[in-house]
Amino acid sequence: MDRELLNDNDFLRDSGFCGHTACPGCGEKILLRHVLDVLGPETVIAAPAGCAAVTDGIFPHTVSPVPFLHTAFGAVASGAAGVRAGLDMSGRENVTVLAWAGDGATFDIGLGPLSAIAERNENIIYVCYDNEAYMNTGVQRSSATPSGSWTTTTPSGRLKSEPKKNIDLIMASHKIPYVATASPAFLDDLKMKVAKAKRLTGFRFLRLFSPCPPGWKSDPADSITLARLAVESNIFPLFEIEDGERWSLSYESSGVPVARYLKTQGRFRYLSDDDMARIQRETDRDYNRLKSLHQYNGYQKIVVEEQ
Amino acid sequence: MPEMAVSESSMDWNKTGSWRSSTPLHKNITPPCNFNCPAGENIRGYIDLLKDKKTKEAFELLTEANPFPAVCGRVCYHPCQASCNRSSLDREINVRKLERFIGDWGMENVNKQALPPTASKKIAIIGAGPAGLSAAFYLRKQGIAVTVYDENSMPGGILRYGIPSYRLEKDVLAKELDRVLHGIEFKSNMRFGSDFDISDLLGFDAVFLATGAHLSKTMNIDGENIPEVESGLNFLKTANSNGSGNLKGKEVIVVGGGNTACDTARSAYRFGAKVTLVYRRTEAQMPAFAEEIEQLKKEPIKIEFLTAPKNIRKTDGGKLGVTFIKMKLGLPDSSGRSRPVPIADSDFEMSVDKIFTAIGEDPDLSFFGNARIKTGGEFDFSDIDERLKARLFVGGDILPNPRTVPHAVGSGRLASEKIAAFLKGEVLTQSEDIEVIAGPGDINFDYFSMINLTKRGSHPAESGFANMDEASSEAARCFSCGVCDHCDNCHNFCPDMAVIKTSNGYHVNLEYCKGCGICARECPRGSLKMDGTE
Repeated sequence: MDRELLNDNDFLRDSGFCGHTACPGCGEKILLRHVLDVLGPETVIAAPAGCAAVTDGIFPHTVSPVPFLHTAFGAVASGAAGVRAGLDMSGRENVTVLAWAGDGATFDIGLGPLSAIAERNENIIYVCYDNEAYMNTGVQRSSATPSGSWTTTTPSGRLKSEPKKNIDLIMASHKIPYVATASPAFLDDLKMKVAKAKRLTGFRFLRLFSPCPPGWKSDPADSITLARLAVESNIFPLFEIEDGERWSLSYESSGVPVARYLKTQGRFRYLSDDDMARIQRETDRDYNRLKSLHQYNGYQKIVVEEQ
Repeated sequence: MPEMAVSESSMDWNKTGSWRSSTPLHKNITPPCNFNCPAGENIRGYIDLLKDKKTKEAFELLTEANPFPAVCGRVCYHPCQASCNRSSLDREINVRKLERFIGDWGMENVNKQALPPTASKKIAIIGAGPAGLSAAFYLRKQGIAVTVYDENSMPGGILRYGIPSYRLEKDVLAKELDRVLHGIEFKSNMRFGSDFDISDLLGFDAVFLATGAHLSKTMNIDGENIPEVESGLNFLKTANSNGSGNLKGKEVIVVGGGNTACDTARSAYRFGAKVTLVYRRTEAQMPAFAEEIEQLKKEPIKIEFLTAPKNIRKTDGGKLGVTFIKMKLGLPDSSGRSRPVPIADSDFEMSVDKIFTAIGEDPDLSFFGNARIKTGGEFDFSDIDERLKARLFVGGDILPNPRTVPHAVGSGRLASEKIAAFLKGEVLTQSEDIEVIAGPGDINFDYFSMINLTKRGSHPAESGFANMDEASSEAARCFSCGVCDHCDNCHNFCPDMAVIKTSNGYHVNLEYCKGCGICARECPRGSLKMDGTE
């Protein structure tokens, strides 16, 4: 384990990360502070409407210690591409452009522009903090919402029945250099993946698991515990896809029953034992496919090379 | 008009701490091993140092509470291990071997520790066993002159004369005693009450009495006074003094179920005797340490439970005729154990060469005339000479605490603290805080994975670790229950970056902490809790 990666850069400590208006126990803020920690001060954030944009600060104040560009909901990909072009034109290729969007802006509203900049292999790190619904506007279903989940638009009796969209496969299909998933419960893995993304050029897509206590109806104190359970139960496996082809599992889970994960959250309280058994079968099926993709290519360990 | 709106100041003004309804508090609680150590060792502390292979620091920390790590690493019954929270996951930490490792390191590497010069204060200690020598060691460390008297020719008390050499090697004891006695005056062959008395003690500022418990309890049966009926303690003392015994081919009976009985039986077997141990209750009620019983059962020693001698007589062939009676368990007695009740007409006879009795010991306090232990377990000072009374401290096996080496060590160290306070005209006050003990419920087991113990190799129970790597990998299994080891989880998982690292731990910035509780939930060891008050 690379302890160096876990040491906070001075710039983040000096500026603090305090005073933001995210809810207690917010996963997105844990993710952002550690991603920024790895990317460093030479970074520009572009963010669409969403939790991150709203909780970053109240105009004219911002909690992020780097420039933070607000864009329209569907336009973060285009906005980030514009920032990239501007920086490149002024000779600042070394600055990292970080698109920081929720699942609504990524899976649904911004998918067109996202696909466009991925296809053009724009030199951008795109992070989707995946909290599996439109949380900021009041917990409406998105195409990232897992089946069986309660939201205000899929209330009890009409729980979401469609499966979660496989955005990782969509992004991998663009043959971009790097696609990865990471979890705040596995910070070493997360920071190594961000560091790896930073070293690569071209379009890099990271989907980060982002627990949302108000939206998921979970105890704020449980955010990390349930993030860990999501990984250990294979609901949210940790993996990488390089060049859209080379799949590798980053972590071999202990395979705890999905029910343990599902029962930590009120959004799954309407599930029957049969529903949970079905989710278990689906999870096993998807994880086995992932394992076979991983085995097909041979295991590749994440190694942070010396710079 | 700028081309676009730009924020240029931070959100520091937004004191989100006002959202909070419960507050995280870093507060170490007591690890169960430390709590259960009769000698008062900081076990978690020295294990933590061993993780980083800091054996010297570990030795120093350990000997702050117990001057005998090599001895206790061999003979202590280690209640720390029985209470280890790791046993909820795989197996408890082997503290015995870690302590022994530190003790053995000390024997190799620590000779004479530097001592402060002695000031005018002088202390007399009567009894050179673990209690007396612990008190002497800690008083001498504070620059107080110490004279230790003992009735035997060599120091060590029960360690030398009671514990057989197969449990505690004589050279280990000698080395450890040599270090402990450094700078301390030892007067051998001085029995209090016959070789010296109160008038010889008047020049001392305080006196610590730690003469132990050496009077064997009697069985109160006929024939008890026949010379071939001897106390187990006496036998052990003779055996340990000249290292020989003449029991080849002899049939021997040992009466009792405590540690002395076990040691006597195992020693007699080693001197060639055919040994039968008789105990009037069953194995479950044996007061000996579980480990001792386990070792006893491995030896070719016959054990007769629920059996008691009824009378003993000399037979014509020079042998002893013993009548035994079988017992059954009745209602619990004052000790909480089932009372053995004789079964009528169950007598049977045995013919043996020797009988050793080991049914318990009492302190020999004849030098104080009527002074005795009160029923509550306190020492009765009322009849003692006025010149001594105000300066007399009592400890070790005289008091009816569990009579073990670590209890004696703890008692001796406590006496040294009381005496040091007394010399300053103070009375030692003990903290009245209720100690909170870290139990399995305080551990976040997600952070600890099972170790395949079959790969760890097996060591005989009575050996130590082969090398530093073995010891430190065992130490690395420790959870550090209840005590922060700076894992950074609380800092790393805070969404508000309100847990700030400081030079000696963490500080929660209450101006911004929203009280989500992730830090406390993710603390692997229960040293951070949501306290709820401010």
